[in-house]
Amino acid sequence: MEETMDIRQVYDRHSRRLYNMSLRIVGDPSDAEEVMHDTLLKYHDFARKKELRELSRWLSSVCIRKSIDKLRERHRYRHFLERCAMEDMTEAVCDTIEDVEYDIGRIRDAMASLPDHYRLVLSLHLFEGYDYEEISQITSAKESTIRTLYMRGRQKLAEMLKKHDNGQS
Amino acid sequence: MTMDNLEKYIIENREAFDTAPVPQGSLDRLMAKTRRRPVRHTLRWVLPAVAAAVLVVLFVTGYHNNDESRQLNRMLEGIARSEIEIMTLVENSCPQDLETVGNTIRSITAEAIPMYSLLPEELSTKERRKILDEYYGAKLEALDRVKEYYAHEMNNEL
Repeated sequence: MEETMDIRQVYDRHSRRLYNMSLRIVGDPSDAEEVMHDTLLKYHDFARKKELRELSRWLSSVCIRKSIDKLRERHRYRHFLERCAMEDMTEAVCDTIEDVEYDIGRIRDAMASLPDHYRLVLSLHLFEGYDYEEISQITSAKESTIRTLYMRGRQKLAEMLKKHDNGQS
Repeated sequence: MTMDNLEKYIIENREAFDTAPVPQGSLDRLMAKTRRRPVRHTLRWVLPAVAAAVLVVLFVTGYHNNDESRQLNRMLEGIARSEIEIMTLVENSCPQDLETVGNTIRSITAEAIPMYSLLPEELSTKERRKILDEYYGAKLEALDRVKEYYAHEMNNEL
Protein backbone atom coordinates (compact mmCIF):
# COMPACT_ATOMS: atom_id res chain seq x y z
CA MET A 1 0.00 0.00 0.00
CA GLU A 2 1.84 3.05 -1.26
CA GLU A 3 -0.25 5.51 0.72
CA THR A 4 1.27 4.40 4.01
CA MET A 5 4.85 4.79 2.84
CA ASP A 6 7.30 6.73 4.93
CA ILE A 7 8.52 9.97 3.37
CA ARG A 8 12.00 8.44 2.96
CA GLN A 9 10.58 5.58 0.93
CA VAL A 10 8.62 7.98 -1.24
CA TYR A 11 11.80 10.02 -1.65
CA ASP A 12 13.78 6.95 -2.70
CA ARG A 13 11.21 5.97 -5.27
CA HIS A 14 10.12 9.30 -6.70
CA SER A 15 12.66 12.05 -5.97
CA ARG A 16 14.69 11.73 -9.16
CA ARG A 17 11.63 11.67 -11.40
CA LEU A 18 10.05 14.64 -9.61
CA TYR A 19 13.31 16.58 -9.57
CA ASN A 20 13.82 16.09 -13.31
CA MET A 21 10.20 16.91 -14.04
CA SER A 22 10.45 20.18 -12.14
CA LEU A 23 13.91 20.99 -13.50
CA ARG A 24 12.55 20.74 -17.04
CA ILE A 25 9.82 23.23 -16.19
CA VAL A 26 11.57 25.72 -13.90
CA GLY A 27 15.04 25.35 -15.44
CA ASP A 28 16.88 26.03 -12.19
CA PRO A 29 18.34 23.25 -9.99
CA SER A 30 17.70 24.92 -6.64
CA ASP A 31 14.12 25.84 -7.59
CA ALA A 32 13.58 22.28 -8.83
CA GLU A 33 14.89 20.85 -5.57
CA GLU A 34 12.59 23.14 -3.59
CA VAL A 35 9.59 22.09 -5.69
CA MET A 36 10.50 18.41 -5.23
CA HIS A 37 10.78 18.96 -1.46
CA ASP A 38 7.47 20.84 -1.30
CA THR A 39 5.78 18.02 -3.21
CA LEU A 40 7.10 15.39 -0.80
CA LEU A 41 6.24 17.58 2.20
CA LYS A 42 2.69 17.81 0.93
CA TYR A 43 2.61 14.02 0.87
CA HIS A 44 4.12 14.00 4.36
CA ASP A 45 1.57 16.50 5.72
CA PHE A 46 -1.54 15.35 4.08
CA ALA A 47 -1.65 12.89 1.24
CA ARG A 48 -0.72 9.76 3.12
CA LYS A 49 -3.76 10.22 5.30
CA LYS A 50 -6.08 9.56 2.43
CA GLU A 51 -6.27 6.70 0.04
CA LEU A 52 -4.14 7.33 -2.98
CA ARG A 53 -4.65 4.82 -5.71
CA GLU A 54 -2.15 6.43 -7.99
CA LEU A 55 0.57 7.95 -5.85
CA SER A 56 2.92 8.48 -8.76
CA ARG A 57 0.33 10.42 -10.74
CA TRP A 58 -0.70 12.42 -7.67
CA LEU A 59 2.90 13.39 -6.94
CA SER A 60 3.43 14.39 -10.58
CA SER A 61 0.34 16.51 -10.48
CA VAL A 62 1.43 18.32 -7.31
CA CYS A 63 4.96 18.75 -8.64
CA ILE A 64 3.73 20.26 -11.91
CA ARG A 65 1.43 22.70 -10.12
CA LYS A 66 4.17 23.78 -7.76
CA SER A 67 6.60 24.18 -10.67
CA ILE A 68 4.09 26.39 -12.46
CA ASP A 69 3.64 28.41 -9.26
CA LYS A 70 7.40 28.88 -9.19
CA LEU A 71 7.31 30.30 -12.73
CA ARG A 72 4.41 32.56 -11.74
CA GLU A 73 6.47 33.87 -8.83
CA ARG A 74 9.38 34.47 -11.18
CA HIS A 75 7.24 36.36 -13.67
CA ARG A 76 5.20 38.05 -10.92
CA TYR A 77 2.07 37.40 -12.92
CA ARG A 78 -0.41 34.54 -12.70
CA HIS A 79 -1.28 34.61 -16.41
CA PHE A 80 2.28 34.98 -17.64
CA LEU A 81 1.74 32.52 -20.50
CA GLU A 82 -0.82 34.78 -22.17
CA ARG A 83 1.50 37.77 -21.79
CA CYS A 84 4.54 35.89 -23.14
CA ALA A 85 2.53 34.59 -26.09
CA MET A 86 1.52 38.15 -26.99
CA GLU A 87 5.07 39.47 -26.64
CA ASP A 88 6.54 36.73 -28.84
CA MET A 89 4.11 37.08 -31.73
CA THR A 90 6.46 39.21 -33.78
CA GLU A 91 9.57 37.15 -33.22
CA ALA A 92 10.67 35.11 -36.23
CA VAL A 93 11.68 31.53 -35.59
CA CYS A 94 13.17 28.78 -37.71
CA ASP A 95 10.49 26.60 -39.30
CA THR A 96 12.44 23.49 -40.13
CA ILE A 97 14.83 21.09 -38.53
CA GLU A 98 15.86 19.23 -41.62
CA ASP A 99 19.41 17.90 -41.37
CA VAL A 100 19.67 18.60 -37.65
CA GLU A 101 21.22 15.87 -35.57
CA TYR A 102 19.97 15.34 -32.06
CA ASP A 103 20.21 13.02 -29.13
CA ILE A 104 18.97 13.08 -25.55
CA GLY A 105 21.79 15.29 -24.28
CA ARG A 106 21.37 17.87 -27.05
CA ILE A 107 17.61 18.00 -26.66
CA ARG A 108 17.97 18.41 -22.90
CA ASP A 109 20.44 21.29 -23.38
CA ALA A 110 18.24 22.92 -26.00
CA MET A 111 15.17 22.59 -23.75
CA ALA A 112 17.10 24.17 -20.88
CA SER A 113 17.94 27.21 -22.99
CA LEU A 114 14.34 27.85 -24.06
CA PRO A 115 12.39 30.73 -22.48
CA ASP A 116 10.17 29.66 -19.53
CA HIS A 117 6.87 29.77 -21.42
CA TYR A 118 8.00 27.52 -24.25
CA ARG A 119 9.78 25.16 -21.88
CA LEU A 120 6.65 24.80 -19.76
CA VAL A 121 4.33 24.00 -22.65
CA LEU A 122 6.78 21.65 -24.38
CA SER A 123 7.52 19.87 -21.09
CA LEU A 124 3.86 19.30 -20.31
CA HIS A 125 2.99 18.11 -23.81
CA LEU A 126 6.04 16.15 -24.90
CA PHE A 127 7.42 14.88 -21.60
CA GLU A 128 4.36 14.59 -19.37
CA GLY A 129 1.89 13.65 -22.08
CA TYR A 130 -0.83 16.26 -21.45
CA ASP A 131 -2.92 17.45 -24.38
CA TYR A 132 -3.62 21.11 -25.16
CA GLU A 133 -6.93 21.13 -23.30
CA GLU A 134 -5.37 19.66 -20.16
CA ILE A 135 -2.46 22.11 -20.30
CA SER A 136 -4.95 24.92 -20.67
CA GLN A 137 -6.73 23.78 -17.50
CA ILE A 138 -3.50 23.35 -15.53
CA THR A 139 -2.09 26.72 -16.50
CA SER A 140 -5.35 28.72 -16.71
CA ALA A 141 -4.33 29.88 -20.19
CA LYS A 142 -6.51 29.66 -23.29
CA GLU A 143 -6.21 26.49 -25.34
CA SER A 144 -5.44 28.58 -28.43
CA THR A 145 -2.56 30.22 -26.53
CA ILE A 146 -1.19 26.82 -25.56
CA ARG A 147 -1.41 25.62 -29.15
CA THR A 148 0.41 28.72 -30.39
CA LEU A 149 3.08 28.46 -27.71
CA TYR A 150 3.60 24.79 -28.49
CA MET A 151 3.99 25.35 -32.25
CA ARG A 152 6.39 28.23 -31.72
CA GLY A 153 8.15 26.46 -28.87
CA ARG A 154 8.98 23.41 -30.91
CA GLN A 155 10.27 25.65 -33.71
CA LYS A 156 12.37 27.47 -31.18
CA LEU A 157 13.65 24.11 -29.93
CA ALA A 158 14.62 23.22 -33.50
CA GLU A 159 16.43 26.54 -33.77
CA MET A 160 18.36 25.81 -30.59
CA LEU A 161 19.28 22.35 -31.88
CA LYS A 162 20.45 23.85 -35.14
CA LYS A 163 22.57 26.43 -33.33
CA HIS A 164 24.05 23.63 -31.25
CA ASP A 165 24.68 21.66 -34.43
CA ASN A 166 26.42 24.59 -36.15
CA GLY A 167 28.45 25.25 -33.04
CA GLN A 168 29.69 21.68 -33.06
CA SER A 169 30.67 21.64 -36.75
CA MET B 1 15.07 14.40 -39.35
CA THR B 2 11.68 16.12 -39.37
CA MET B 3 9.80 17.90 -36.58
CA ASP B 4 7.43 14.94 -36.24
CA ASN B 5 10.40 12.65 -35.80
CA LEU B 6 11.81 14.90 -33.08
CA GLU B 7 8.51 14.79 -31.16
CA LYS B 8 8.27 11.04 -31.62
CA TYR B 9 11.86 10.62 -30.45
CA ILE B 10 11.19 12.59 -27.26
CA ILE B 11 7.91 10.78 -26.53
CA GLU B 12 9.51 7.38 -27.05
CA ASN B 13 12.47 8.22 -24.83
CA ARG B 14 10.77 10.19 -22.07
CA GLU B 15 12.28 8.24 -19.20
CA ALA B 16 15.79 8.52 -20.61
CA PHE B 17 15.62 12.28 -20.06
CA ASP B 18 15.23 11.89 -16.28
CA THR B 19 18.94 11.50 -15.66
CA ALA B 20 19.86 14.70 -13.83
CA PRO B 21 20.98 13.58 -10.37
CA VAL B 22 19.16 14.97 -7.35
CA PRO B 23 21.52 17.48 -5.66
CA GLN B 24 23.72 15.97 -2.96
CA GLY B 25 22.37 16.17 0.57
CA SER B 26 18.83 16.71 -0.69
CA LEU B 27 17.32 14.00 1.52
CA ASP B 28 18.96 15.50 4.62
CA ARG B 29 17.59 18.93 3.72
CA LEU B 30 14.15 17.42 3.20
CA MET B 31 14.22 15.63 6.55
CA ALA B 32 15.35 18.86 8.24
CA LYS B 33 12.33 20.59 6.70
CA THR B 34 9.99 17.91 8.06
CA ARG B 35 11.36 18.61 11.55
CA ARG B 36 10.93 22.36 11.13
CA ARG B 37 7.29 22.11 9.99
CA PRO B 38 5.12 24.40 12.11
CA VAL B 39 2.65 22.89 14.55
CA ARG B 40 -0.67 22.49 12.81
CA HIS B 41 -2.99 25.38 13.46
CA THR B 42 -6.25 23.45 13.46
CA LEU B 43 -7.29 23.84 17.09
CA ARG B 44 -6.23 27.48 17.16
CA TRP B 45 -9.02 28.53 14.83
CA VAL B 46 -11.48 25.60 14.90
CA LEU B 47 -12.32 25.93 18.59
CA PRO B 48 -13.16 29.65 18.52
CA ALA B 49 -15.14 29.16 15.31
CA VAL B 50 -17.16 26.30 16.77
CA ALA B 51 -17.64 28.16 20.04
CA ALA B 52 -18.87 31.26 18.20
CA ALA B 53 -21.28 29.22 16.10
CA VAL B 54 -22.67 27.43 19.15
CA LEU B 55 -23.12 30.71 21.01
CA VAL B 56 -24.98 32.28 18.11
CA VAL B 57 -27.21 29.24 17.75
CA LEU B 58 -27.91 29.16 21.50
CA PHE B 59 -28.62 32.87 21.49
CA VAL B 60 -31.07 32.66 18.61
CA THR B 61 -32.71 29.50 19.90
CA GLY B 62 -33.12 31.01 23.32
CA TYR B 63 -35.12 33.93 22.00
CA HIS B 64 -37.21 32.33 19.29
CA ASN B 65 -38.44 28.83 19.31
CA ASN B 66 -40.31 28.70 16.04
CA ASP B 67 -39.87 27.87 12.35
CA GLU B 68 -38.05 31.12 11.71
CA SER B 69 -35.44 30.47 14.38
CA ARG B 70 -35.02 26.88 13.21
CA GLN B 71 -34.43 28.11 9.67
CA LEU B 72 -31.98 30.71 10.94
CA ASN B 73 -30.18 28.11 13.05
CA ARG B 74 -29.79 25.83 10.09
CA MET B 75 -28.27 28.60 8.01
CA LEU B 76 -25.94 29.86 10.73
CA GLU B 77 -24.81 26.31 11.45
CA GLY B 78 -24.25 25.84 7.72
CA ILE B 79 -22.10 28.96 7.57
CA ALA B 80 -20.05 27.90 10.62
CA ARG B 81 -19.60 24.41 9.18
CA SER B 82 -18.52 25.83 5.83
CA GLU B 83 -15.97 28.09 7.50
CA ILE B 84 -14.44 25.14 9.32
CA GLU B 85 -14.39 22.99 6.19
CA ILE B 86 -12.74 25.73 4.14
CA MET B 87 -10.06 26.42 6.73
CA THR B 88 -9.32 22.69 7.00
CA LEU B 89 -8.99 22.46 3.22
CA VAL B 90 -6.74 25.52 3.05
CA GLU B 91 -4.58 24.26 5.87
CA ASN B 92 -4.04 21.01 4.03
CA SER B 93 -3.63 22.39 0.54
CA CYS B 94 -2.24 25.93 0.73
CA PRO B 95 -1.29 26.74 4.36
CA GLN B 96 0.41 29.91 3.14
CA ASP B 97 -3.06 31.20 2.16
CA LEU B 98 -4.60 30.72 5.64
CA GLU B 99 -4.51 34.38 6.58
CA THR B 100 -5.85 35.61 3.23
CA VAL B 101 -8.64 33.04 3.21
CA GLY B 102 -9.48 33.88 6.82
CA ASN B 103 -9.90 37.51 5.74
CA THR B 104 -12.02 36.48 2.76
CA ILE B 105 -14.29 34.39 4.97
CA ARG B 106 -14.63 37.21 7.47
CA SER B 107 -15.56 39.64 4.72
CA ILE B 108 -18.24 37.21 3.52
CA THR B 109 -19.70 36.35 6.91
CA ALA B 110 -19.13 39.48 9.02
CA GLU B 111 -22.22 41.25 10.27
CA ALA B 112 -21.74 44.39 12.38
CA ILE B 113 -25.34 43.95 13.46
CA PRO B 114 -26.90 40.59 12.62
CA MET B 115 -29.55 40.81 9.93
CA TYR B 116 -32.04 38.71 11.90
CA SER B 117 -32.03 41.34 14.66
CA LEU B 118 -32.64 44.19 12.19
CA LEU B 119 -35.81 42.88 10.61
CA PRO B 120 -38.84 44.97 11.57
CA GLU B 121 -41.49 43.22 13.61
CA GLU B 122 -44.15 44.45 11.18
CA LEU B 123 -42.91 42.04 8.51
CA SER B 124 -44.85 38.85 8.12
CA THR B 125 -43.16 35.58 9.04
CA LYS B 126 -43.12 34.63 5.39
CA GLU B 127 -41.37 37.87 4.41
CA ARG B 128 -38.86 37.57 7.25
CA ARG B 129 -38.02 34.01 6.26
CA LYS B 130 -37.60 35.00 2.62
CA ILE B 131 -35.22 37.85 3.49
CA LEU B 132 -33.16 35.66 5.83
CA ASP B 133 -33.09 32.88 3.28
CA GLU B 134 -31.77 35.18 0.55
CA TYR B 135 -29.34 37.03 2.82
CA TYR B 136 -27.68 34.04 4.50
CA GLY B 137 -28.13 31.89 1.38
CA ALA B 138 -25.91 34.30 -0.58
CA LYS B 139 -23.22 34.01 2.11
CA LEU B 140 -23.44 30.22 2.03
CA GLU B 141 -23.16 30.24 -1.74
CA ALA B 142 -20.06 32.44 -1.63
CA LEU B 143 -18.49 30.12 0.97
CA ASP B 144 -19.31 27.12 -1.22
CA ARG B 145 -17.40 28.70 -4.09
CA VAL B 146 -14.34 29.28 -1.92
CA LYS B 147 -14.63 25.71 -0.64
CA GLU B 148 -14.93 24.31 -4.16
CA TYR B 149 -11.78 26.15 -5.23
CA TYR B 150 -9.68 24.80 -2.37
CA ALA B 151 -11.13 21.30 -2.64
CA HIS B 152 -9.88 21.32 -6.22
CA GLU B 153 -6.51 22.65 -5.16
CA MET B 154 -6.20 19.96 -2.52
CA ASN B 155 -7.00 17.12 -4.86
CA ASN B 156 -4.79 18.61 -7.53
CA GLU B 157 -6.73 16.86 -10.18
CA LEU B 158 -5.19 17.85 -13.46
